[in-house]
Amino acid sequence: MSGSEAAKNVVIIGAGVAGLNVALDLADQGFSVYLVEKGSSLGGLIPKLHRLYPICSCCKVTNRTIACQQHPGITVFTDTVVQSVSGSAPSFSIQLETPDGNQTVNAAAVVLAPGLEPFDPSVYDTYAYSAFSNVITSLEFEWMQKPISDNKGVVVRPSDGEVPKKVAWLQCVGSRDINKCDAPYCSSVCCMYALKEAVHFKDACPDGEAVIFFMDMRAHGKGYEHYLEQAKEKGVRLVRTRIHSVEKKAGSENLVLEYVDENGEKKEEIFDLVVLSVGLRPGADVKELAEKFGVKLSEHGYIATSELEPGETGVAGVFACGAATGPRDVYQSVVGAQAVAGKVADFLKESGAKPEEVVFRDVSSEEPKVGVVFSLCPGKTGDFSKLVDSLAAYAKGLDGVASVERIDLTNSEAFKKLSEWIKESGINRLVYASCSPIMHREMVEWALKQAQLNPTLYNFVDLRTLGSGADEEQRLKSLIKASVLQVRLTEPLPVKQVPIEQCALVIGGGIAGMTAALAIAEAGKKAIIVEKKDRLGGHAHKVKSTWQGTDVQAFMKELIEKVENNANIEVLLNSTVKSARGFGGQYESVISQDGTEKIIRHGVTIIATGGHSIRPKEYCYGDHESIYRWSDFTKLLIDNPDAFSSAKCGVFIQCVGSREPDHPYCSRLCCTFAVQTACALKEKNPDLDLYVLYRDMRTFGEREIIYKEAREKGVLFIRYDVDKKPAVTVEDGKIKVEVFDPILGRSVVLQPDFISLQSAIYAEPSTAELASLYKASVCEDGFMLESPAKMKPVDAEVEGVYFAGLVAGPKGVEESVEEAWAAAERALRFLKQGYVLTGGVVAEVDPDRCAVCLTCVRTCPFGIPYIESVQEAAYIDPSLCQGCGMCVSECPGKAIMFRKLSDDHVAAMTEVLVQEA
Amino acid sequence: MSTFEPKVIAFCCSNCASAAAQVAEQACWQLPSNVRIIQLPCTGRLDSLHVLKALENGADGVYVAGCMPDSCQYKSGVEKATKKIAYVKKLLEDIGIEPERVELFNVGAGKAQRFIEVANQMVEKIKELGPSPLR
Repeated sequence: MSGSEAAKNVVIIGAGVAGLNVALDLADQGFSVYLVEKGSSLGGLIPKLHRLYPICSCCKVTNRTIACQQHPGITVFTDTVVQSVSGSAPSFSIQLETPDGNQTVNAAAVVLAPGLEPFDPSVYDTYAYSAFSNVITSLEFEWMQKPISDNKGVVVRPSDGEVPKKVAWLQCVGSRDINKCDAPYCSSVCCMYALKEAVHFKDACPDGEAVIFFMDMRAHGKGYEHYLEQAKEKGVRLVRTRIHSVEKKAGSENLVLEYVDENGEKKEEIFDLVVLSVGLRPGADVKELAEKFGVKLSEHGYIATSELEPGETGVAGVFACGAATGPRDVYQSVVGAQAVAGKVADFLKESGAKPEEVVFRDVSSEEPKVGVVFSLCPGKTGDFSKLVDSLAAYAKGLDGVASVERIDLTNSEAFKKLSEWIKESGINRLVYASCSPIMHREMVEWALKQAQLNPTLYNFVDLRTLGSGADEEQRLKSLIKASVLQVRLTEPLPVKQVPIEQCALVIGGGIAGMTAALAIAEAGKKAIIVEKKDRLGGHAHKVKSTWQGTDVQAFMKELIEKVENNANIEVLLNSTVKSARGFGGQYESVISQDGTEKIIRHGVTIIATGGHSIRPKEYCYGDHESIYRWSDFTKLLIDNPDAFSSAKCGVFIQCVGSREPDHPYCSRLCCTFAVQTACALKEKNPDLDLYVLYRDMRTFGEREIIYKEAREKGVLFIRYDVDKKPAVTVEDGKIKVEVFDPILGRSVVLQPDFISLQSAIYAEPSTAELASLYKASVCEDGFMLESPAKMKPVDAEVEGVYFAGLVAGPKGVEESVEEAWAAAERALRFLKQGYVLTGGVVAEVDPDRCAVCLTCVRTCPFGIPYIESVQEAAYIDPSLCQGCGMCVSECPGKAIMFRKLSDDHVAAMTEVLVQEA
Repeated sequence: MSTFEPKVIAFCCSNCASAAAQVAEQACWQLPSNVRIIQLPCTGRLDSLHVLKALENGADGVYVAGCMPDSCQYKSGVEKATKKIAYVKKLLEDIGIEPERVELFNVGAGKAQRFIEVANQMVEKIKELGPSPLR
């Protein structure tokens, strides 16, 4: 391996959801990736789950594992561990222990993503996991819910195989506890997965009873609160208590739970099945890996990473992401992975990707010469292999078929082979028969492009859910015949290659916008920041520190300085985007600055317009100078750290406006803010009495530690229900707060010197209109909506638009920074492609037949068609069309063509499929 | 009647229904051999003409496997297909052909069992109805 080659090498350890995403994003940018997995398959924990909140997991990870296995830039090692490491960045030498013996890989950078392990509840004798067969873990429950489980998705009791009618979930087993499990932190994911399991249990078994016993219901992510509400509507019962022990009912396998409810009443309930919602642990190999690479671990055994430099471990060239860096959900893991991919590319400064202009062979004058490829996955061989010979012989005899080949998908060489075969055989149409054609599409199109064939000249035969017996032959033959016929009828669709404007427009100059712009500028691309206000920094001016105590003011000032001094960044203050047109790769935006207009051409758009906290309309806000909105409270503390040194009593009120009809979501960071600020005030003034009035304490993940610290310092926490809110009154300049304490069972009156109201966070309201300029949109809560293609948390619905920070949902500064790196990475990955192909599978209007009836304008789910005034007909921009074909079928005048699958194609195919049956 | 093996054409959405097929494949479940699938980019691409042509060409039954109404990647595609199937059913009734020969099913992404179930259900129904009078 030559030195210059190794400079592009990245070794990734762990092929769970984080590792897979880093691998794909880096390989797409031209880096050579070595993906090392200790298990025998890729995907980590996810393939074991039934569904990921809120939808199924199958379409999220499977396609990524296949893409990794087939990507020409990725070498996958399974059943492989790191034996030893020598050298340092940028020339690590890593000894791998593979099933085929030892192997050394040289790398310029390393990413550690070894993942997590579920907590083993056997250590608790009181939960009787080992003693009673009907006490199972949440993972075991979820595995039964999977359609491919032994029970075909039906949940049964281990003791007798009966379907349970009454199921209990016990939360925080192995979390928020230092007694047996030594995990004082919150595992961050269990509340949501318990809700998900309970909801799906209720769906499958509507008469069944699902009860979740919990301490705080932590639905702190984007859209999670809605899911919690839906779960309640579906009849999932939530009981706030911590269950001490599980007993067996005498003479049966049923289980008895005794508990004291919030009203202090002792209760007893009998369940058929008890599910332990087990927490997360760092993977078993984390410690050993950390030692080998010299990286530090946190107090709880997770890989310690920098708060505001995502994924940096303190060792140059070694990065970490995923649940091995702290408990987190899939969404956060993917954001973290994308941020780390950005960090690695930034560290290596070398982009292997040389934008190549693709030239397609002109096949318009050639007779259709169809190539048929049988491509079998390792799982599809066996019986099916026997059919392939006769099918190949049949395919050879069909009109227009020039060549037939079998290319089995065994490793990353398969698609290279396909590409060479296409070139050598001289075919000009391809029929590709495989058992995961959708997932292979991207790679097949890659192979076609490599062979200089227009990627639209291909069709697939879906072998999924087809049998392999001799009786299957007839159906397979007719499917192949129909597919060959259709591809013969297909004309090469006009594809235009458009260079990508090497510039990013970043809208919003807060922490997220500045971080993203800087990452892009450091990669040598131009970034333009459009900021509405007269200064950079956004909401960060009112943030004192991150939850771990990093000074945000200092960070922000340094960031502003870096941005202002970077030659690749242009900052436009007092400016807004007035209009925009174009598509990913070629945008033209009109920026209005101090009354003058300016046109900017850019290839990508990053929306980081931020958010605000609402002005409370309750709790006497505005009636007393010491009743603050939290942002103003912080601003005061930033300007005068001793502001409350003489105060005797203070109150924090949580969920002011959040989780209520106008803002029906959790604002995520307010709980952490309250405990952190309370701790800081207590440190300065231990005699100060502090009360936090809350609905659920949502100090998720390792933030739980500061919640614990606050209680130890004497901060008092009183829970309230939304229908029994605290009452604040101001009389003679004195503040009075009356709140019902459920533990004391009576009202408590407080006379604080100040109140901080943690009010709901909402996205900058102009975002919806701004997003629509770029054909993106916002979700029902007003935050940016992510791409429907799963696992793209910072990608908008269209290619070329990304977002980060508060505009994507409420979050802390450290999470905004992570998102900004992720957005910059996604943007750079796109910019580095150099060219976009427009056209292909799109709808086209025949202006002569268009009657300007506006049906297509109304039909298009993305609002793409418009009436073009010169032609006086509808026009569909081929670079924006998503190719769903809906307008084609709706057009009453049949004026819209869909050349990839025309009405004639469909008719011809139905004829063939029926005849041969 | 017992030997009658109907010919059924299925128009499937390449998103949800295809994801369901993927899971079905993993579980080794199989479609009845009477069913032949044509994949559409979205069921919104379905034209009434496609269904009528399939019947005219000799299919005994035609069904559509689309997304759940609230999870269409193209927002309203399956809604449009639903309207078209209702329209075709009405046409068939008018000319004296059993409208049950044409159906639309919502199959959620990953709902493998349902994907196979609707296929079996359709084949059974067509077996009951017998060969299409258009054959």
